[in-house]
Amino acid sequence: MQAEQRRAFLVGIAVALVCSILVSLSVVILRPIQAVSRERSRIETIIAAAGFTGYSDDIFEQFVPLIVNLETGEYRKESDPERWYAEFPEMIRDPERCTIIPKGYDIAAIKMMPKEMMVYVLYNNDKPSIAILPMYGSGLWSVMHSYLAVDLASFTVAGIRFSEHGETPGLGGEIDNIRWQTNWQGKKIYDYQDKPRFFFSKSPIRPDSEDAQHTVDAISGATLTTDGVKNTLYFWLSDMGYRNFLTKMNEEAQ
Amino acid sequence: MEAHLSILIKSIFVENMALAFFLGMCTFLAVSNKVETAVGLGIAVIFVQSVTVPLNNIIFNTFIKAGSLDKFGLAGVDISFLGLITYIGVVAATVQLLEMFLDKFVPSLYNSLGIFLPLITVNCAILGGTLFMVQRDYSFTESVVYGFGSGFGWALALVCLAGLREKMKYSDVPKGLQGHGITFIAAGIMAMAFMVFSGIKL
Amino acid sequence: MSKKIDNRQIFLDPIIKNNPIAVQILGICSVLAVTSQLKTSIVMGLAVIFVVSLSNLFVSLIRNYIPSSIRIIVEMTIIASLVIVADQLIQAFFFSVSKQLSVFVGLIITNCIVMGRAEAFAIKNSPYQSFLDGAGNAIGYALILVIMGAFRELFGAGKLLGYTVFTTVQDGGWYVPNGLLLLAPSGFFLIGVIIWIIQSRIVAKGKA
Repeated sequence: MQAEQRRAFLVGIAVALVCSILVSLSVVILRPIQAVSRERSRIETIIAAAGFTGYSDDIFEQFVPLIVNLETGEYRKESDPERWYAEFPEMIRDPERCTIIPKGYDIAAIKMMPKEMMVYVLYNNDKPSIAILPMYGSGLWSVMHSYLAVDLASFTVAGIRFSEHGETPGLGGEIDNIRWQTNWQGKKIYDYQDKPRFFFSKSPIRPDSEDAQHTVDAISGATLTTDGVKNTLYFWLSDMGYRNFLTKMNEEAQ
Repeated sequence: MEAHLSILIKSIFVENMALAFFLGMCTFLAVSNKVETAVGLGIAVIFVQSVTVPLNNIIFNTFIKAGSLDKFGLAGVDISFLGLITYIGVVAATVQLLEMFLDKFVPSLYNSLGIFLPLITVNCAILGGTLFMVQRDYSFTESVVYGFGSGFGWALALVCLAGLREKMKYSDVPKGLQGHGITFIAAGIMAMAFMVFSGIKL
Repeated sequence: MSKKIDNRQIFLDPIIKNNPIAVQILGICSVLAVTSQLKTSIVMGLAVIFVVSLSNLFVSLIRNYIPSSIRIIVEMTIIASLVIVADQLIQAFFFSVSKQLSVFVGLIITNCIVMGRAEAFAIKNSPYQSFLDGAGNAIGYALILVIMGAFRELFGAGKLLGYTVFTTVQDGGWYVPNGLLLLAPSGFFLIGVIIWIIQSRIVAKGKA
């Protein structure tokens, strides 16, 4: 009986030991590879939003990371964007570094937002030409993270990409469809009243009408997802979001 | 308060463990023959889920989460990869403790629930609830609500399916489809009905 | 089971005739959840093959040393460790897929196939046979996963592995995609139909 118990104990310890070595080894070996994959996918999404294809460090070097104070629109250069990005998930839940969004204004359903965001700006002859703005807001199932690239001189969409979302594959998940994303290019982000405005249309719209400049194809079977996208954009392009920064950049771009 | 209510409704109806995420299917199909047993298993799941999700939440926030070991003087140590094994350990231990507790103090309940308890350890709805809680980074109170809600949603689906299957005994089902085949299709139709809830926004 | 167990039979039986999903009704959860796209189905299938065959091998290797009192917890530890390794591998090499699979890789731990094969086979048989049994069951599982993934993606979105096969109406083509196939309920319907096909075939064969 005693021997039986001792054996049970020994086997338990041995199994635990072997398993722990196996697990830690795999984690230690694979962690650098994971970090590279993660960084790569982030860079790919950002440069894709700005209209480049593929992955290239050379292109990404031209993107200048800026920290933007959302309230004032002031910005400064960030020297360590990777660290900033790694902290981001934590930051958006940290009440100390966030502003609580007043009720009624929280159309993106995110409760609080950071006081500062890191954006990338692409310069052309020392003038800012495209800003890649990270945004997030609630979709149908979970929070969608996206990058909106804005042409700063004309205030039109240069591109949109989603870095993370949990929408139904094939329906809401079609926000990853390149065709649909291309549809956004050139759409005006602000209307004549200087408010963010987008429509999703199920049928063709007269191309010369005022609305056409704000209209994107709807995705069939994904009303709630596209509404989420719209609300996210409305929120982040408003005065609470990047509006002040964009105005400043727009002046510099002229 | 409102946020909690929204989590509750969402976890019961919209993101139903069984019908939207397909978790706990093995037991879902095996134990849905009779309403009576289904109710028993349902209660056991609600109970275990309400205990393990908050418990894992505490463990996650104090030990597992990246950066949480800083306060023990272990800055920079990240053991988040140990999450999975810890959660399943907690689930197995909780179930075991619950079984012993019931056996000792509430034998009548043990007799009716007893056979289901070991089944619960390998019920993915339980582990799934914990994993979703971690992924969505719920706070403690939110995790309590979520644990209860997701367990309740699963139990609800189970009891409904059991009700359907009891009625179905008298129907004329094609031969190859009898048994599990028709159960799947019935569950599919039920899942479709539950999809109606997905438009709810709180 | 007959005394003389044929290795080939151990490996091939569970692939169709005794398929873990369609006949044994094990491990359904992940089948339904990850099969709306072919790519996720394939990665998930590979992960399950990896975990089941190795866990069967390891459990069988130490089967004579495990006291039955702590059998379950030892098996659980082995399985959980393997799942963590699989999860880390997927995160390293299939980063975008790992985001879509979310919690379902972790849920392999509670996949009844893994535990079921360890308990039913590996604990009683030699390592080599256990490995074959695990691999066979996992391949049978992966097979259904891939069939369903291909069917749902092809008819639900007109694509395979993300490449367009049928040009859909939205993109100016002819195919009107069946959106239902991408949603949760269709998973149930498809499994129901697969079970129907396999069972009626076996029944028909038995009579002939």
